[in-house]
Amino acid sequence: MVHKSNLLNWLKTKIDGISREDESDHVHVECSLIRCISEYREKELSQIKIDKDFNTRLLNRLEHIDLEVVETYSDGTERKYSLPFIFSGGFALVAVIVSVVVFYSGESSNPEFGKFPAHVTPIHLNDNTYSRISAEQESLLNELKKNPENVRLLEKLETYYSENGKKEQATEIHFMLETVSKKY
Amino acid sequence: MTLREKEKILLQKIKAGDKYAYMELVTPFRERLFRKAKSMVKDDDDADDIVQDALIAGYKSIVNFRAEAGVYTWLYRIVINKSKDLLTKRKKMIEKSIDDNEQQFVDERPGFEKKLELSDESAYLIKKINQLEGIYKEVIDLRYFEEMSYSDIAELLECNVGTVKSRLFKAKEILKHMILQDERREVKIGT
Repeated sequence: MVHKSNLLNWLKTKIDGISREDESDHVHVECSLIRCISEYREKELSQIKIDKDFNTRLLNRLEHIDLEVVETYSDGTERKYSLPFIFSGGFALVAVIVSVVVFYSGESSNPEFGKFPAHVTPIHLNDNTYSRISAEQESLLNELKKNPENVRLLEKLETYYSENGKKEQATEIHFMLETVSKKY
Repeated sequence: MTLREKEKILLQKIKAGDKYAYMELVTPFRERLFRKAKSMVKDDDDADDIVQDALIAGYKSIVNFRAEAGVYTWLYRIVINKSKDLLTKRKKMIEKSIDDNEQQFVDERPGFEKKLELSDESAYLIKKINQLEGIYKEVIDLRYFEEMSYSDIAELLECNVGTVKSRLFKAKEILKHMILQDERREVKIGT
């Protein structure tokens, strides 16, 4: 014996000879479907117990993935490059430029003259999982920003690379410069 | 802000390398994706692995995601493909096993298989849905359980929107007739 209140009450009216339009029949079935499946979904999903470490495991795996980053340029074109270079090789390049500029900028009175600033040297060259700017890298970017000569040198390098068809390198330098201008 | 707008903002962050934005984007889908994988592979651990792998695959290819379909539909499709891959692997393993004469039957149909405590009306209707042919059960599942749009369903099933609508119409017609038949039977027994 089936007891289905609303749905069957409606059907009884059909059988009793009260004719309805097909369209309204469908609306009724539609309403019943929405109501019943919504109840079913709520109960079924509440019973699904995802492993409590699921997100941790997922995040750990994500940390080892080199995602191609999309940078949209002013001309509307999109260029892709991978993060590890930007956050390792890219920073290494900036570190060299910063130190070279410091060396030649005539700061001979500085006791640190000619040396890498302590906060500049330890760069995560081998850390391929690095996806966020660390404090050290941030200070490096800060250093870059301090001296307009650094930025100019990088801009020249970007032009040089793009003119010589080395788009990847040019794009990477462009990203560094954009990061500096956006972040600081 | 609509869900789609929120998705777009998160997608921009992800494409710029923000892994936490990806976690934020996909976490609400975990249970539904798990349900889909489980319905296909019939094993909790395998379903968990499939969802993990699907989310990793999704992240790797997110640069190419163009947001025409919703993120969920896109991940749902990856889960289906991963589940099918596993089923194929299992099938091959069974075929290779000379001693194993029993063929494992894998029901890939989407469904409302779980026994849940539901109201009479819902329990009855779910029972009727389970009696539908696979293609009708599938569209009912995608439309009413997964709450996908007609165009998302069409993309997922690789057919046009008109086909989706006509399948849904037919599914509802069949349901209506099944219910009416039951009712007639009950009236006869009653008299």
